[in-house]
Amino acid sequence: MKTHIDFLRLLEVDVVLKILMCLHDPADIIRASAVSQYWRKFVISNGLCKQLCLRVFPQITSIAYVAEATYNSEPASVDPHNNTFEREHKTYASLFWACTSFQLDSCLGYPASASSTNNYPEESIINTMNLTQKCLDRYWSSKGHDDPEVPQTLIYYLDGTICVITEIDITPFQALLEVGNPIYSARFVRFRMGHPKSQKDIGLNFIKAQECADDKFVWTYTSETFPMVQESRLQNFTLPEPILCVGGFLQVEFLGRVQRKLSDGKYYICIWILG
Amino acid sequence: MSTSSSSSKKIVLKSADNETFEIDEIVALESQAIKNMIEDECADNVIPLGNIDSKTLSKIIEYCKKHAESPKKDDNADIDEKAVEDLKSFDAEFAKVDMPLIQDILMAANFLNIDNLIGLMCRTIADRIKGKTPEEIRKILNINKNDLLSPEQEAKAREENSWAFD
Repeated sequence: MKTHIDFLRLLEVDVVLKILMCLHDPADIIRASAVSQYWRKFVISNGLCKQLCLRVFPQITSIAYVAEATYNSEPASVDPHNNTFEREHKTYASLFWACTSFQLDSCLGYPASASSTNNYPEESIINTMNLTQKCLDRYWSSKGHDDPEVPQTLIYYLDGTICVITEIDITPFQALLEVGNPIYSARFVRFRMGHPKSQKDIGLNFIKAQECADDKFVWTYTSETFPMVQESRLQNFTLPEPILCVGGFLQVEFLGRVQRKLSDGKYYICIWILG
Repeated sequence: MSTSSSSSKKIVLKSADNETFEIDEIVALESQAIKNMIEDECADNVIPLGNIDSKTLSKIIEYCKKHAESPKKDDNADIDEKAVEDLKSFDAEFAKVDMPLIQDILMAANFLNIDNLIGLMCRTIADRIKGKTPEEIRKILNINKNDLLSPEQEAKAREENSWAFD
């Protein structure tokens, strides 16, 4: 009987790791780190908070170094290596908590770019925002194309450079003033998240320049392809798991056009509301 | 037993308390450590396991027998779902023992290098400390109290991560 011996001390490091890596709730990791000095050192020096955080939100691998903003009052003689682990432990614990306990709210900021616009500014991407109800003449329309396979993309700023996205709502546009009231939806939709390649591009107004800005971004996350139906109602696309977007940009990609315009026989995609 | 083929060759394991267990070689091969010994031909008829008591060893043999009988996942792709489910429920039942025995099994499985069993015991321990407070974890794992966090460390940890302690 091994009373009063910390059982974990009897095990090899990788076996202890195996046990603690089975804990998927950051709160369990934090509580484990308060069991004893040995557990605390183990959790911190093996970066378990960070590892768990990276497993759940792989998008944050782009965080290379954690700097502490507050004044560090600890004496300079503290082993700097050890200090890094402590700092990472603290940061990832807070980050994890922040990412998983957020309020459910819209985090769509404002439009950044559309791959094409039929009539600017009447049919600008700006129309897809801030609408609580469908409005006959406020929608975004792509340019028409003979090939239904030509994709279209819309890019949006998110509220904040770190957001957790769980779902996206899209309402395709129905042209009530055209014969037959056609609905200009897409066959499929796909979402990407990421950050600008260069900070200097941020200030540019891609919308006004009617410039496709897809190549100005690094997309760190690409979703699966969701089928879209040709119905003019709010369509909800729920991501398989919450995605942490570092960088603050969302791209919505429309794949496959379904509706020709009667007047010119070309395929269009038009969107009323995005949320 | 003159007709017994090489596949039903027997291995004898001897526990720390000098109890002997005769098992089929195929069962013993679940242990990577014993497998290596047999392959290197440095295993006599009797393998002494001086750090594993008979209670732990009989549990481990029970586990190895079941897993040796079950079809291996990578043997063929279309093994029936039922065998997989059967093994799963066996594992779940197997793990329903008290914590000291789980700890003994884990250490023995680690020594004998039985990968699946190590994993099962690790998951079991993790499941038992999930959602528990540090005090409860200490009690569950019977951890002594002369290695506690200092009151300052404890207060700091609780303050920084109050969400984990509520």
